[in-house]
Amino acid sequence: MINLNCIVNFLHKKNYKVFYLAFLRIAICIFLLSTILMNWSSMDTLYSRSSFVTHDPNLFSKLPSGTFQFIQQYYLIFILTYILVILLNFTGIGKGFTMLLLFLMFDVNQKMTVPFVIGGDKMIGNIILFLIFADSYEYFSLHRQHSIRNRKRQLKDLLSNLAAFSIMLQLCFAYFSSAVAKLSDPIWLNGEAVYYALQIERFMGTPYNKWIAQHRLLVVFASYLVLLIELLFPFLIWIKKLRLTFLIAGFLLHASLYIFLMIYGFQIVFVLIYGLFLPNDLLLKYAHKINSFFGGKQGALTRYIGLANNTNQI
Amino acid sequence: MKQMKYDIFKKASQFAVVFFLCFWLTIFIFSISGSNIKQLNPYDIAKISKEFSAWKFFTPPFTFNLRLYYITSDTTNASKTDTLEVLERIALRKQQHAPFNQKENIVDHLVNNSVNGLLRSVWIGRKMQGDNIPSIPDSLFLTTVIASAEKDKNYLRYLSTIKNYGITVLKENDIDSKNKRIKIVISQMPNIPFNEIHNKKYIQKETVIFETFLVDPIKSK
Repeated sequence: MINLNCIVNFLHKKNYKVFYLAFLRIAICIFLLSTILMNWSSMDTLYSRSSFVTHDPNLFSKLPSGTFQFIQQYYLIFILTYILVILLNFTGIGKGFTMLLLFLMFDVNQKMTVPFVIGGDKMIGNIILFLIFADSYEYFSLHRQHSIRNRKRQLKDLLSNLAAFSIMLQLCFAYFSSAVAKLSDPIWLNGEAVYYALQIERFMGTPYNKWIAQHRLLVVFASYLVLLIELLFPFLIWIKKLRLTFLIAGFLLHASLYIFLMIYGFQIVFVLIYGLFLPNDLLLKYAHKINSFFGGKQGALTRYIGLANNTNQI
Repeated sequence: MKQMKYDIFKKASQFAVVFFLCFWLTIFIFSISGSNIKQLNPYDIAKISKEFSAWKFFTPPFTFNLRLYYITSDTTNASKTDTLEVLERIALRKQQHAPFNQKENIVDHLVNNSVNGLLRSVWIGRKMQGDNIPSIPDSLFLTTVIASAEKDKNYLRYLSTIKNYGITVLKENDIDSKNKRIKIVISQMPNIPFNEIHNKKYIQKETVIFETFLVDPIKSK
């Protein structure tokens, strides 16, 4: 029988992922900003009324009619506001409220560009949703409060832990549901899936794809390996001794998809979540090392990162 | 007062943990059951759960490549035609510019999304021609299937996007759309089956799976 009080007490104790939650927040902000930058030359195609894309008029059915057309007409203002909200999140200003704003704007942005939304965007949306509940402002924030450990602080830590755990679970569910789908697909079960994936012209990332596809043993092995990683990762990643092995295996899987199938953002987002599986102390140790390497001691950047005088230092 | 505050925080914490457990348990049930549980769809739980558990990653992978042709015909001279294929061209551009191919990637997604959406509207739940329907000629079968999808709003939206893109393609190829009508043809080019990898005599047969009549290249919204 699960003892609820025991779980609550454990989660009240401290924010176990305090550093990486903050890092994940700014990493997502950087990712979103870089996406806007990369899309800049295609803004008209993605947002404007002059685009060749015909949108679903019921996309904003819950908002007043004409909202979609309004945003289309003034899409540049929308994008600039979106950038501002991302920057506020980057600096930690407004905390949870700004994160909520980012979630809403991200959702509107996804609806505006529905035909271009990919799996990575779906994952980012879910990460932002969970980050609304997390206190990710102990690091990488212009303004941080070192509040005393009272009940409110304990509740915040509990919510942060649940949010971090939810993001980790989300990753596991992504792999698990994908593995379940693969187990009922004859192409995957016969070990032929990688062969066909490598032949899809729009995902042919390298000239070597066709060459690899010609090697039966290699593609069969790769197909079963992908299936095995997706099936076992969600369960074995929680075992300390196997964690690093699965993180490396997962990283290699995503690196392969990045290189061979030209699916970029998706892989970055998935790998970003991996950091949550690492202990906070270890991450802080490396953060201090990197900070020292760049000579940071008490500068503005160090203060922003939160490594100077932070109570959570190792 | 202090005790009351303590109780509120305690209850809030317990509620958060219970909610968390119920939420992920539901997602887990949906993950392992796939779509079989859709009939138990109270309060759109299935829809919400899908957001967190419906990941497939190339399941099943495409076993073919698609081709999208714009066939132009001059209204003043019917024998004057041009044929432009775009999906293969987009894929090649994407490959050439990798990894800095976001511009090409956007066009690739926008066009392919519409092509796949259109094909879904037409073919979902239907057998392709040649599959156990020997009494009907392929061309007639195709026309009948397309006609039955023509009232579907999604079908019209996808078709509109593809038509609009056709105008862009004409411009890119310096073809004046004045006095021109275009026909859209989508075909499927199957990949060599896995067990025929080393069969050099294997012939990939391209099959037309969608086509329109000649239409005016006018931008629609």
